[in-house]
Amino acid sequence: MITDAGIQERPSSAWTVWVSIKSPGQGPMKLEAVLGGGEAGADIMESLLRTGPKGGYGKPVEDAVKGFVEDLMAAFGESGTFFPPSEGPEKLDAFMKRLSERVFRDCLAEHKVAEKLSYEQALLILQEIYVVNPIMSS
Amino acid sequence: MSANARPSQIVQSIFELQDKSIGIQYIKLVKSPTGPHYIIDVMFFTGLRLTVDLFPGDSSKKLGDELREKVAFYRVSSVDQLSEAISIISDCGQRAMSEHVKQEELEQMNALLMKQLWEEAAFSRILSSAPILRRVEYEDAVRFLAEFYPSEAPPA
Repeated sequence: MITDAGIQERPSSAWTVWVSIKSPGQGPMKLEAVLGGGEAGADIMESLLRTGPKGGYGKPVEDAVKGFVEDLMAAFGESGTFFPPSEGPEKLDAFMKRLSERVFRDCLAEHKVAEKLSYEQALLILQEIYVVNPIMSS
Repeated sequence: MSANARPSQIVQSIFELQDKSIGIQYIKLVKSPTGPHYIIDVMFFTGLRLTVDLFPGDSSKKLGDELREKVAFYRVSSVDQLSEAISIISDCGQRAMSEHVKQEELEQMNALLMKQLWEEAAFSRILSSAPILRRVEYEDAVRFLAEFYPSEAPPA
């Protein structure tokens, strides 16, 4: 599961994209790639996964990276290649919103929340986190 | 799962978690025969078995600190590996000791209730520990949750 992600401009007018992933049995990992523009989604995915162990990170991690790259390309892709954001934070915000919402949905599905908790129980947990201990709404 | 709760016996229940990804074989909750408290008895897959006392009103932090200290004492190399498990056990313990769980429920503690508390603690932990999830607005989070309960949740 993706736990955090971001995209940041470098002084050399390149961009660093990074994604933190937690996968059972592998512990937390942070994957990074430096992009100059013009990379295809497959190239970005390869760059992010290049430091993986022999035999690869495994399907759960690769699927998470694939989702990240898809959202990245949906926000910053032009004609199938990565086009670095140049104006304001709007595109960055839209990218992070889209990514975080997809990760949230994936998290609910992966955790099989509907099988494990009633709707009322799950809603109470959300209220605990957002209302009682509002770390998520800050 | 199994549960034993006859008055003539020690009141205890066992939740057979058997989850290698989190590192726990089982969690046992035992009513102390000598005091008002309970005892959490947890068996990890690493072979480590620990107990921690649980009093009404105990916080997740207190339980977590005590468990971490014990893991560090007996198996220092496992502290990082068991960190997530300890966090969930602590939250689970706090929930068991909270006012939301009625005393008679607790005294007849059964494995089903323990399983529910565990699932609540695990769900809370997952949502709280991933910074990216903090970007989701509360109203959107409720809407996404409702999608998983099409027959129960009120329309968004």
